[in-house]
Amino acid sequence: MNPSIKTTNLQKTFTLHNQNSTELKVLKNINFSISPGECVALTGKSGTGKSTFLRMLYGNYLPTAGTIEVLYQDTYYDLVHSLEHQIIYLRKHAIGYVSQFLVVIPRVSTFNIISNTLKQQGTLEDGSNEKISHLLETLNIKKNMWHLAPMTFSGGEQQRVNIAKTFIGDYPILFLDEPTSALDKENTEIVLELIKSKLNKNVAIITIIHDATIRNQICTREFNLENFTEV
Amino acid sequence: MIIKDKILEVKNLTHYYGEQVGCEDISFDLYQGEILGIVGESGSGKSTLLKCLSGQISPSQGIINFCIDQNQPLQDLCKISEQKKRALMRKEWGIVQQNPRDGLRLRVSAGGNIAERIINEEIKNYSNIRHKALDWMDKTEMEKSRIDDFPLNFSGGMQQRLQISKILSSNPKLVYMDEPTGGLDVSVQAKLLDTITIIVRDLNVSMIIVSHDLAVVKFLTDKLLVMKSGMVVESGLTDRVLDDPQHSYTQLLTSSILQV
Repeated sequence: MNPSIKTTNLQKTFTLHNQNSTELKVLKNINFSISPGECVALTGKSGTGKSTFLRMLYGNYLPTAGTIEVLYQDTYYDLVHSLEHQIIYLRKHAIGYVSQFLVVIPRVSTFNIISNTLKQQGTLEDGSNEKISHLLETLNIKKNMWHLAPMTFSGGEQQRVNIAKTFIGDYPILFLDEPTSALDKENTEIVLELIKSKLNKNVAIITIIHDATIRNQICTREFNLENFTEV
Repeated sequence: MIIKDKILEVKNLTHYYGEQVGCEDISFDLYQGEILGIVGESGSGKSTLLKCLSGQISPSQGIINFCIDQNQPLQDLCKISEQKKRALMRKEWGIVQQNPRDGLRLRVSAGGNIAERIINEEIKNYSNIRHKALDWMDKTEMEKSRIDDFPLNFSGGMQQRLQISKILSSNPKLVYMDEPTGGLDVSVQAKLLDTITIIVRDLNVSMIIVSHDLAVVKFLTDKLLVMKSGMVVESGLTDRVLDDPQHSYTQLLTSSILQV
């Protein structure tokens, strides 16, 4: 099967112009690929560049050298040289990103935040409300909170809204940055089940999860970034 | 698959005020539905660039190609007639002024202000126009009962909402906003911002927003131009430019934000 994402000689150096032009060589020579249905955990000590790598794959950080190719509907797109609106398109349709913290437009209700994903993907239809309700119920978000904006929710509730916002969509690739960090055992299990069902649908998942026991329940492979740091 | 129509193409745009550089050698493209932010400190040439783009001043050099008709190639704005430019300004473009008092007729009712923009369109029937004006006041979260009041007596935030209603009501292709939330207090600003966000995302309208407030552009825009001394020093996807700035000036700008 063709990989969902492949990188060639990917490299990242930060140059801090206003701090004596300090150069931070974070990552180099990363040749990585992930296939549909795989769940790859990024590992390595704090500061090795796990988040930096993930952010490059999302177009959020600019690689210093190398290429990133993303598969969407049988075509590879070069993320490093794509136009802005093309990257935005890929983010709406190809890559779903569950960030560590929920970032939303203030005053928009939980329910609408989630239906907005479907709207963006052009899949909002008559049965959508049922689908959203079902996902929110699965994630233990109480019904009386659905019409509220999530700004005032607890950390764990916000994290589950964040997961629902992305998981409602139909993305062939998912990035999960610590998706269970604020969750109790019960809710962690629920989220892991949701992740497994995505894998069964052949979604390619890259994740950062510190807790090894949780990681081992879903990940098919580990990718240690300490092998790619400059000494 | 990922193909969008280009609606604006700017090449090597330069404007001098006598010997003084306003903006220099600016090039970028804008696609249908894209929202572009222009950031930079006071005097960096943001407003000069915006004025050139929106036909308020003629650039000294360079090309501004605009999509007047989707089925035709882009046309150079510097070469079309003044009359045609006026027609574009009335319908296809909207300019939201920093000071709403510059964009409104203060002694004409709120409804009348909106009507002015849509009256030359297909709707000529009075009650339809009034209905549409009410609809727009509702979208921008204004009290509908104020439709017959003069904007002279509105608060700054309300005046800005009215100006935005007025501009968007004609369904323009391209909207220019110059510091749309400047001069408003924080809570009014936040509310206005998400109103704008929700409306423009729904309309799929293209926009160019000038601001010195990074929070505003982070919230509203897809891509950014960072200007310094009349030149663009960095450009790209908004979150990329703000999270991983490459140029020393952008790094200075983003590291100067106070964390709340």
